[in-house]
Amino acid sequence: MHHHNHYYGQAHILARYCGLPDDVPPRIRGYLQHGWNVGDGWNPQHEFFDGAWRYVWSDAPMRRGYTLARRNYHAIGAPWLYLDRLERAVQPPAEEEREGTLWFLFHGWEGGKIEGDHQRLIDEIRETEPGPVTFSLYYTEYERPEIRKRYLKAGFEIVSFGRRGFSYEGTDARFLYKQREALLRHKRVAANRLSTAIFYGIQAGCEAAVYGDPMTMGGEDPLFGGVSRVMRLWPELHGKNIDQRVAREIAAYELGEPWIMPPDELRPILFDGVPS
Amino acid sequence: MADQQPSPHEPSPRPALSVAGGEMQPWSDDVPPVRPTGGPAAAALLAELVPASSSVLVVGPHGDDVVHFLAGHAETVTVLRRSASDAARLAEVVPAGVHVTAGSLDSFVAGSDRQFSCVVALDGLDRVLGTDSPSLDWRARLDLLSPLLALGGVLVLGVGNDLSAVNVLDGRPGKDRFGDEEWHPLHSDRHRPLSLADAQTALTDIGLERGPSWVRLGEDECRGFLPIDSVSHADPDGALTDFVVAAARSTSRPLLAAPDELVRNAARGGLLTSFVDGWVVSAGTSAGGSVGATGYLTVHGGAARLVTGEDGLRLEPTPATTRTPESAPDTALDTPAPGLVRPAAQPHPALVEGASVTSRLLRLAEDEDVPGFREVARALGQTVAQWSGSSVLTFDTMRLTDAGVGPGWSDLEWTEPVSTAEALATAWMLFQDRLTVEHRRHPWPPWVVGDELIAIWMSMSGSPVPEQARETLFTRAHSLADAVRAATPGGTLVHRDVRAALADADAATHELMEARGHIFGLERTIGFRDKQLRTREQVIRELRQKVAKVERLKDQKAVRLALKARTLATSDRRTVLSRGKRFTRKAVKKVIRR
Repeated sequence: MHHHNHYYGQAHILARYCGLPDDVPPRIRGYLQHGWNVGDGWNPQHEFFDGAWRYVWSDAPMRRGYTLARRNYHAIGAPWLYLDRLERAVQPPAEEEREGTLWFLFHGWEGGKIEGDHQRLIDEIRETEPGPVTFSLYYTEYERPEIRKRYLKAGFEIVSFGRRGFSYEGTDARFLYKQREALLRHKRVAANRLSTAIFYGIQAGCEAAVYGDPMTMGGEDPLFGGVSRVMRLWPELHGKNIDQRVAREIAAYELGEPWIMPPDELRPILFDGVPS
Repeated sequence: MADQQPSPHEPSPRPALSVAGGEMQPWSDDVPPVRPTGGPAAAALLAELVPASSSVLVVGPHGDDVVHFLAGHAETVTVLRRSASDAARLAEVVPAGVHVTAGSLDSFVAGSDRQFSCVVALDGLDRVLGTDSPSLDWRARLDLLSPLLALGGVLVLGVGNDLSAVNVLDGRPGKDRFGDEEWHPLHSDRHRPLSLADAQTALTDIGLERGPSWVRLGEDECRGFLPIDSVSHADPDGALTDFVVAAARSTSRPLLAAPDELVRNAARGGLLTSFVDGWVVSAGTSAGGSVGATGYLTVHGGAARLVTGEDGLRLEPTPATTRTPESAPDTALDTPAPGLVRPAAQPHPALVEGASVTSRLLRLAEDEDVPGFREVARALGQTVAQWSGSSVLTFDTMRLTDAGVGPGWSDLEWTEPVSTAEALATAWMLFQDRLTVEHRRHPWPPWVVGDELIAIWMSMSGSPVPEQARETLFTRAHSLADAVRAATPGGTLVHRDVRAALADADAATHELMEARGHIFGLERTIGFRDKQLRTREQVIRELRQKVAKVERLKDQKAVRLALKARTLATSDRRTVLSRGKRFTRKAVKKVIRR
């Protein structure tokens, strides 16, 4: 229903999983969590209509959201996990040798640009990562030549998985497909903030690391506690060498592995006017 | 005993009927709403307490089945009823040898110096005086009983609990709460016991040796008696608490709220014996052995004994006290289950240890723990699929054990073959009642509540319902669920409680708010789509302008020449030559013409 539900093609993935048309996904009767954060998955000022239903990845955002006086949550698991199931059923990941690190720079959005010491970050990545580095930039940074060129010049391969779109326009419905394929080719995943991509990477079998200047973004709302709270809550996920077993457990929980539903169960709960 | 002749308005008494004086006329304690104490459970309890060779005095209104049982159990039986018409009716139906006396307790005592080796007053001491009796408080009425009991005799006394869950939650003020017998304010009596300890102390005060006690379930009619020790330590989600809840829910009183929460919280606090409907205290009985350790419940087929075995609490039918149609009073429990269910011909003994499946599912739903809920649902599906009997399985009766899910006690059976899917859907429907009627917290959106949610739960239980089979299955399951509801004591509250009514009103307001929100959401979607269309329209407009610009350019000489040159450049050699020749010929002709 809200155009954010189409971000990264998440509504499309869930529609496909439910056996519904995924080129034009049916309307979702509420708000679908489209990324991970230390709150309930949405930003503090997100618009919700009265009685809105909120589909979150796990019960963690559900509980955190309760304190924001937000109700009507239903944990369904991350669309990423559904995509993984769909893709594995069609084409199991090849057992090819994984190589290098897929590095995600904390990204801004249409309303806020990131600020930080990029050269310092490049130096730290060079001295940390053992193999080749592929640098993922969200299009907001990818389209800023001064940032893109700096990482290119550093010898990193640059990738961008597309746009999330706005008002149903410009959404790259293959966004997560491309991200997953890239992660499956890499041995490590890293970022300068604990973020959605790190959890995706862990789920895809990458060794994870979170280090470097977390940078700042103009207009960041400190209501949820910001980076410092994230570091306090998940210290085990911060560092260059973290316990990967613990990381996998946390990622499975935050992505909502136990909350994954079969299609018949998900269909009537998620989509408006679609029976099981 | 100074017998008197009954009123000329009464039928001629049989030799078994006499009048002690102080009888009430016209009056009956046999009619609703407050019925005489009786039922198979009462008979089963008395079988344990009343010595076989005793002379028994039954004081107050008791069911005919109790009198019948005592007639066959004791040596002599005398029944004292305050209502002349009740006594006369009883005298007509009791077996030979049972003597019925009409009159008040004070008149009976005043006119008799006879003593009995056993006095049974299971109904308590509220209905033993008449309108012409002195206004005696509870303790004074108890004092009246003492001289009737022979030295070393057995007293079995029922005591009502004014602090019972249904009394606390009764929606009426105290002055309107009780019946027409309240010409004397029985319930504001300062000597009335308000706890089990008060009642037991009163027995000691009149010089009796205190015996074992039981919790009494059921107010208007007696559902059963449970051992005090077991109830004191009852699991809030276990079978004993379930029985207390069911008895409380069976009340005909208008309640402020369903008693479930109060009863279960009392159990959690170890206070359950304080919130039950009443107690039975005894004196002169053997305190040793197993006396007092067994509970008795009235079930559809008669009585069931609750015993503690090596593997835990076990409920087993007691054939000796099985109710027969001719001996049974017409109580709600005996109402024939409509059509699809009936009392089990032979209920099987069953372990009732452990929490009910319903309690576990309710908690998981409140926790919004859908994965945990799914796990239990899966186990339930397997249990029901393996269950081959005709017993009615509900999640209220099924228990969680160390080994998984057990079928539990059921005294109802289907009258027709019921498939696994039908039984499972029925059980889920009955569970959904608990979730929605009681306004429990749960994670499912309102638009799936109903058959859609049943379908989801069926899928969780490993029995997905294909779309084309849904209507048939659910129609059948609704019928089965209706039959079980009607046949289950406390399955539905007699009166809608105030809390539920207020919650329903709030829910309606909330639903309205959410419906408005849904409309707003749809409008937002339309707005976003409209924005999307406008964006595309703008793109189309821009493209059209570009096309028009290109069209305009095509008309310019330079562009035409360029286009021609491009055509030539892209043509093959022969075409170029032939076009070149043609061009040359035209040019020569032009020159000649000039």
